[in-house]
Amino acid sequence: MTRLPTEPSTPSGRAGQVRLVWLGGWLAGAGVGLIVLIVLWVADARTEVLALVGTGVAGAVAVALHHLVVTQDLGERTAARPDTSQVDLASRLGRRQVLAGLGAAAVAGAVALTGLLRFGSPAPTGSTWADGVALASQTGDRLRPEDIPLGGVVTVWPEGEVGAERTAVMVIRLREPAQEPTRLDGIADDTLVAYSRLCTHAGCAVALYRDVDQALFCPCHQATFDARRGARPTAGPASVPLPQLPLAVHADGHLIATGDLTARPGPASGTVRT
Amino acid sequence: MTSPLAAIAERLDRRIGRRADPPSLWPTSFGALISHAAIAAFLLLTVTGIALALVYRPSVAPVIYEGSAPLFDGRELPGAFASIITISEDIPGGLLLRRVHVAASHLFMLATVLHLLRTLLLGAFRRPRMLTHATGVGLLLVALGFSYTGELLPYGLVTGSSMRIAESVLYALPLAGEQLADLAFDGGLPSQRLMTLAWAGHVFLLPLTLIGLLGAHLWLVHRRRPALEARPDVDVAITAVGRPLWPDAVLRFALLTAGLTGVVLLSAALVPWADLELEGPFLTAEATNSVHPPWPLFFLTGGLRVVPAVDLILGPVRITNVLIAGVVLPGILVGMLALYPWLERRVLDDRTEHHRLDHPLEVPFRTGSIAVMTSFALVLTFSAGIDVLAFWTGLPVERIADAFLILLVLVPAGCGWTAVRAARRFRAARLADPLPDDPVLPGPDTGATDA
Repeated sequence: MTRLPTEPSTPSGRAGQVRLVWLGGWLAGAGVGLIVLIVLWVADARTEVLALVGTGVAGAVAVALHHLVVTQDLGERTAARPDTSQVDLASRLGRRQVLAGLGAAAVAGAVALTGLLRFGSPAPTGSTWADGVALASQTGDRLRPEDIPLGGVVTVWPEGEVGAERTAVMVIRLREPAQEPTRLDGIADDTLVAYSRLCTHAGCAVALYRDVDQALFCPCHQATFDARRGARPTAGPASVPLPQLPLAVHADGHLIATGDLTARPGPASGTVRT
Repeated sequence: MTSPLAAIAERLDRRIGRRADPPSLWPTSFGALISHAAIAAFLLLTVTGIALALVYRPSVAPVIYEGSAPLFDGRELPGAFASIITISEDIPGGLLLRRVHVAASHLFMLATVLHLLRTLLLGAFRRPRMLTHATGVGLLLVALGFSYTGELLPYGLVTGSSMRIAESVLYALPLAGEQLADLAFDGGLPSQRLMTLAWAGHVFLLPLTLIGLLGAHLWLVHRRRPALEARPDVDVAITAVGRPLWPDAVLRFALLTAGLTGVVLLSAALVPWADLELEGPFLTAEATNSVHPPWPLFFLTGGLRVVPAVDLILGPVRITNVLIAGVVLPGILVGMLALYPWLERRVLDDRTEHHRLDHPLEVPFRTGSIAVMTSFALVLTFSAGIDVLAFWTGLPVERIADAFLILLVLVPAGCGWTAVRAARRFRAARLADPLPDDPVLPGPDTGATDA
């Protein structure tokens, strides 16, 4: 083990005193700054003031530490690396061992996963929409056809479930008549059509409506659905249409569902059930 | 008298034919400081995180907020969001703690990624440091976990969408996905179970994992001695050079920590890093434009945006965009990253130990592979901004998504090709005009290119 010639010097006399004053000065400054910071903190000073005082303290500490780094270094040292020229350079684990290890890990993982899955159930259909359920808007009031102007969109829930996640539905007043594959018997008041608000791509709220081409737009990943044609995906990453909610106008003049959503709301599952 | 740990280490060393050699040598070059910056940021995160954890409440149950935030006073908010507002507005210095925590998290991720890139480019992952690299990739995954769970905790507007997206990724897993999603979410949103999981992860499990992995990482760095850049005075292949832990390395690390703390504090004075008040709490069935996760997760949301709609049914398995962009692509990226040292060892048939760091252009196969991986991850990352780009340019977002899908193929191919060419030129120039005692040559030039 040797030392390279970058050893620090330890000056004595006046130069040493200057060094000590420099180091002590910055440390004292940092200490005073820290006390000021604590006082300001307790006094609930503005965030920016606290941050700037803290910056000053950190800066003073950094100058003091820099001085220590320059003067207190022991310098670089070297050591011989182990000689591996005689070591067998073949892989320390044979192919068979690696494969056996991976296989054992896979089996253990599969067993653990199967055990875990016993505690989780496949997701329920998750919708409480049914024939005769009234549509309630954000305020909890029953929605009536005349509440929705031409080109308008209103978010609704089954009455009594306002704010629920999976049953949120948008009712849209289309500018043009709906076409197949929209379920035409589920259209109320000639132009009112309703779709699930949960994106079939990744489950975000399909919260935006573009009146120009009557498209439903998901702001998370830009999936776009055509509200005139059964909410078929027209652009973006979604591959499944938004489920439709069949509507009708009740004798009392408010909107009701005439059945459940045409499919389970939310993202498509990676498992196909037959 | 040796400690039991040292005894185990010695036995391991004997077993793999390595003689234990006590003096510790720590690198203090600027390149090595990148990794030290990550540890300094982690210290900042720990200190601020402990303070924040004392007040934060991981609850989705609505509470009435009463405090000095005029926008929210008297309003019903989810418990977690209300506690964030309490920290920011009612506790002295609380907003500063949150801003420093977030700023330090950016620094932590940035330093981690840059350190990884340096390790890869300079070939520091080769024997005998392959295990060190593996623990490093583990640390990166833990950092990504911090990023995701940290975003969920405030229960702000974006959080609900992030939870949903995570559920849809679980849900897209064939055969086991539905049950896993049910286990994690316990029904729909707002999901108290996921909130509790995120909190336990962010505050207990991930920090413990990180400390354990970091300990293993540093222990390996210490045992294997750092790989070093070539230098004129010492042949670093047979001689290790470094500084003692005390005082040289510790003082330098303390200096770096103090300096970075100053930078982070200054940025907290100038940038509203963590001011969620204007964003508002998560409300079910709401989403807005410009929904973005933290930038380390951009590569995931980018894939979800530009990978086209797929619906492929193979027996009981359904392959969708979410499965490809949320599971397959990230799996390939992380797998490549973790297994690259073994891949290179096999392709170059290079089984010897290396202690000298290479020039980034020294091995064409490596330069090309890293160019492909990095540019692929970068294009995916920038794909997260197609909505912002559409807003800036006025072009339809569908066309921009298509363009990015094409770029996702073209850019990595182009980058890989350019990198291999540059590396070959570099080798040719060095061959024609070698430096005295040139360490670069000879070495294997394997021309295999794009992965």
